[in-house]
Amino acid sequence: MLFELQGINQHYGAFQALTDVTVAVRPGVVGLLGPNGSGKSTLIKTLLGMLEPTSGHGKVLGQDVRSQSLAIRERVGYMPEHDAYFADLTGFESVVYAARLSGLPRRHAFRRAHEVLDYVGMEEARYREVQGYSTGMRQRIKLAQALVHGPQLVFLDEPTNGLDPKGREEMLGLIGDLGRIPVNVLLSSHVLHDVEAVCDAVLLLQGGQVKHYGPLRDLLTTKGGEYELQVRTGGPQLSQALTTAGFQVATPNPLDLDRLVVVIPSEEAIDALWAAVIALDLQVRHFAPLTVSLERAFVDLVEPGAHA
Amino acid sequence: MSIYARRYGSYDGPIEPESSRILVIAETEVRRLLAMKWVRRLILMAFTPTVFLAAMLYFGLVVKKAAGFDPFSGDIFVYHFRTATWFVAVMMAAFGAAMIAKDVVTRAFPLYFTRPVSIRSYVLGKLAAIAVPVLGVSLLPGVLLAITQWALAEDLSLLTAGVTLAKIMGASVVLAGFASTVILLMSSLGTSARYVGVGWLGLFLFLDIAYGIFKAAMGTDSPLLDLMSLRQQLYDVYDLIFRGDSDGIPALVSLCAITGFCAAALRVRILAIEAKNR
Repeated sequence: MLFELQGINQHYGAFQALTDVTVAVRPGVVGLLGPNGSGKSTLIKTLLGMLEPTSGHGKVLGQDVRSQSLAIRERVGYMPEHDAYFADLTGFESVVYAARLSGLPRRHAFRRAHEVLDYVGMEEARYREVQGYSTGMRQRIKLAQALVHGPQLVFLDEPTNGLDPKGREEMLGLIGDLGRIPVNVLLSSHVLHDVEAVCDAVLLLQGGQVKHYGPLRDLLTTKGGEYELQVRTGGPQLSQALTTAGFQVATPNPLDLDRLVVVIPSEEAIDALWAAVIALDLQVRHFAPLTVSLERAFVDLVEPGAHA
Repeated sequence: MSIYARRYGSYDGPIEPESSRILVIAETEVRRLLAMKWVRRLILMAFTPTVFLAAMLYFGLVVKKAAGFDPFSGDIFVYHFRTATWFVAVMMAAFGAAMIAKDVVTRAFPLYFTRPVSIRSYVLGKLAAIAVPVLGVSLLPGVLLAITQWALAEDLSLLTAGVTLAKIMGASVVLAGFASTVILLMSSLGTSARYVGVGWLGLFLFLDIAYGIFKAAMGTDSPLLDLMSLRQQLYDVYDLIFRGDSDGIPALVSLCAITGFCAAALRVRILAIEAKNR
């Protein structure tokens, strides 16, 4: 497991930031979602061992969050959301410094810094002071600093903040590539498109509690047995035939009557659906479980009934 | 193009113990300081009085009795540390003030404390980074003076020279420990290195001027009155170390107390900043 939390509570005075968080997260690229104030940052800091939980137990990469925080920080990387850099140092010096702060000997730190700067696409600019960098370059340097010591798990807090569309795509490409190295990623982002693009699992927090954890495809697939059925022609006739056969049928787009959404209550009912299609001699172009956008899935989880 | 063609991958090389971060932080900060031309010039300037004092040693042999100056007493080191104190005061304002303030401004704290770096290592690393140039203008010229004194003297034993070296080290540690701890605390309290530097120099000079006025008004030369001035406290400690003047004991106790208090306050302050930056 990447990390396992058992009944974690985190208080800031009277305010309870995390409430009974219990989750076991598997390796991979995991998206951390939640509305503002849902406890995402608190969770990351708890996992980094920077905040000791008020109660509960937790392990990150097999290390205890209470007693082995330094050991955890040797094996994880963190890319902060806000602008953060070492003053008066060049990009290269900053990454070397970050590596040495993580315990790498000087010779290894130099080699790793060059490798990771090549990886994030910093060429000659690495020899300029970070103060003079653009937002995109600073994001790349922060990513390089988070990766230079070869962490097994990296926490990325809003990594595409302030990037233009091209920079955003490049950053997402790098993050997606991390999963193949493999480096496990916990990606905290408000931009659901980013999460949808690179993550294979999602951890959703709301009000300091785990609302959902699981593969992304589970979240994007509707739970009610809804299937999308597209035929070449004869959609209205098929809709009528299926309704007669006892199916719930809807036409989501009034301008495209050949695209139907059918509720199939069981595996056996699929045979009845095919029988209706064959009886009408229709050509099926698409048949698959209905998927929704991450935005809709997110809203459905956070505000149940919002789309009703 | 970089000279390394290897692609990024996992790291399975050696990891140094956490205590090594003290040296990493100190080394990086000292390199950063020495990369600035004016810092190098300031340190070189601090050697000017040493050259002058070395000349005094040489000529003191000639005019020894006439001037009533004993080149083999501790006076020469008292003079050396007195001039070094002023250089250190300027150096603290010039670059010691920025040591933590710049980390606050650039929000570098998460970059330190999300890594295996303890607050102890961070503070000790920064202290060491300030102490190195301070020792460069106090200990190093002091040792050079001691070697010169030993080389010029015909009958100065190795034992005496060793005791002198120990005294120089003691005085340097008091000066470096006091100055670096106080300036680091002040640096942690502000975000503008310029204001912190001006504040430090202002405090140093204001207390000294106030001390001068009180001393003149009261017409006394009490060691307790000397506690008003940071500069005078340091001077009294030098007198204690090199001349055996027991009037310097309250000053030594006071400086140790100030250093200890500042170290404790610094730890609390860093914890507060680190918590704010979470």
